[in-house]
Amino acid sequence: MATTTHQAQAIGLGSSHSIETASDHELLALIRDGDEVAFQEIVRRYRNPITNFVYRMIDDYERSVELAQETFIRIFTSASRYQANYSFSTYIYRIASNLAISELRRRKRRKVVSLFSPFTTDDGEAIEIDPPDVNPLQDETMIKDERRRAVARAIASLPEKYRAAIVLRDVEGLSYDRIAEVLDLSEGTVKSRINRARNLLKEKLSAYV
Amino acid sequence: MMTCKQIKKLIDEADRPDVLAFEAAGHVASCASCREFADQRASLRELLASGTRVSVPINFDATLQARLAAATGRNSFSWFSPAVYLRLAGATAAIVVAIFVAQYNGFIFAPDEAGTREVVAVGTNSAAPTNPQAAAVAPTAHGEVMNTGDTARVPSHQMTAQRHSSATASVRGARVEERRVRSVESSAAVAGRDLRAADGAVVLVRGRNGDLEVPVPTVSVGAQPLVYVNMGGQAPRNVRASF
Repeated sequence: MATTTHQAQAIGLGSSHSIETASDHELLALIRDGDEVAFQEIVRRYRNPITNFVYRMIDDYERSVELAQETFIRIFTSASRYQANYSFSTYIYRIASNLAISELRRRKRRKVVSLFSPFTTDDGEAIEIDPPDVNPLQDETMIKDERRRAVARAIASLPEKYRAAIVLRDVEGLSYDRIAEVLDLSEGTVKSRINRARNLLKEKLSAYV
Repeated sequence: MMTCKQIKKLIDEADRPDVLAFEAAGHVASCASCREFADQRASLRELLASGTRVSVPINFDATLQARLAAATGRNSFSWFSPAVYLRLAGATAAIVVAIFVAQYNGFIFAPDEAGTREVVAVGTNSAAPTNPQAAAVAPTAHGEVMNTGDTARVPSHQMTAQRHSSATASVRGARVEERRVRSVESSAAVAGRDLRAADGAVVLVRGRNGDLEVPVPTVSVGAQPLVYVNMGGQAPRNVRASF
């Protein structure tokens, strides 16, 4: 059971149960004072969504776990710089998005070539080599696994500016205005990028759509 | 009347693929192209949302705590930046300069060039008992200093300062070590003064801010003159006796 800190009592959180029901802003105020219990609660709330989001972005589970941890470390060490002008989820997703995009650019500099898209068009978009599967029908589990892998590959093949928008919208379920805050873009730009990303994904996942 | 392009834009921007704007819903009912587009968009969004959501490993929290401890440990020393080095160096230099200035001006006890204290045991007239004045400065509760070092005999009529090598003095409750005592000539002229210790010993304390005569009770026991100095009042810096 979580220990109630004096900081929690100071802002009216009188029991461990209150920590779990406290808002993100209240928890961040406690984290600013060095409250580790509040920080653990924030981690508990966002560790899976952030890890999943980063995983969708970079398609690398182990690295996505590291980047998710880096996100929380930055939350803790920079808690004093957080401003309550926007929601905490926007704040944490922004940090995670920046880390994921930085990772993608770092990999691009290392010229990491995907086996499924070794060629690119003049616009820089990957040309996916995906030969049709002429094998007989497989069982349901394998079909689902294959579909999931196909979705992951398709998202990973998107340009990074489209990838972040489509993952936040169709995978994480954020609203357009929230995505605009996370990516520091206008709502119109966000909608445009999502539309473009869906058009690309429809071509890559035509067999499943 | 909205065009199919505008309707498709509304379909694409819908918060939920199965809930369309009023205008789009009405158009889709009568337009096969837009209805196909709406169905494909709903299927695609469902496919993207149905992907496997990963979860963190079991040791996620433990690893995070370890990384956080390492990160905060690094941050605790982040203040020790080059700028801080410069500030510390400047502050240290200022303190050193202030100490030198204070010593030069005599605000702080400055040892002699050899870094030693100089207390000259002054020989007195052996016939002179402890004079009343000296008695007035007889040892007090602060203790008295008795030079038990290598004290040479002092003729009764001669006032000479003795050099005591590694003389040590014991003070009640304290221990004063005299490493070297400079001997002075038995010159009667010291800065134009003619010092006598007719009624006892007089210790001339010379400081940078002036000289101070300290009457000292002296008692001769046998051939060993003993000098009592009240150390409770002041600590002589340069003491020289000239007679």
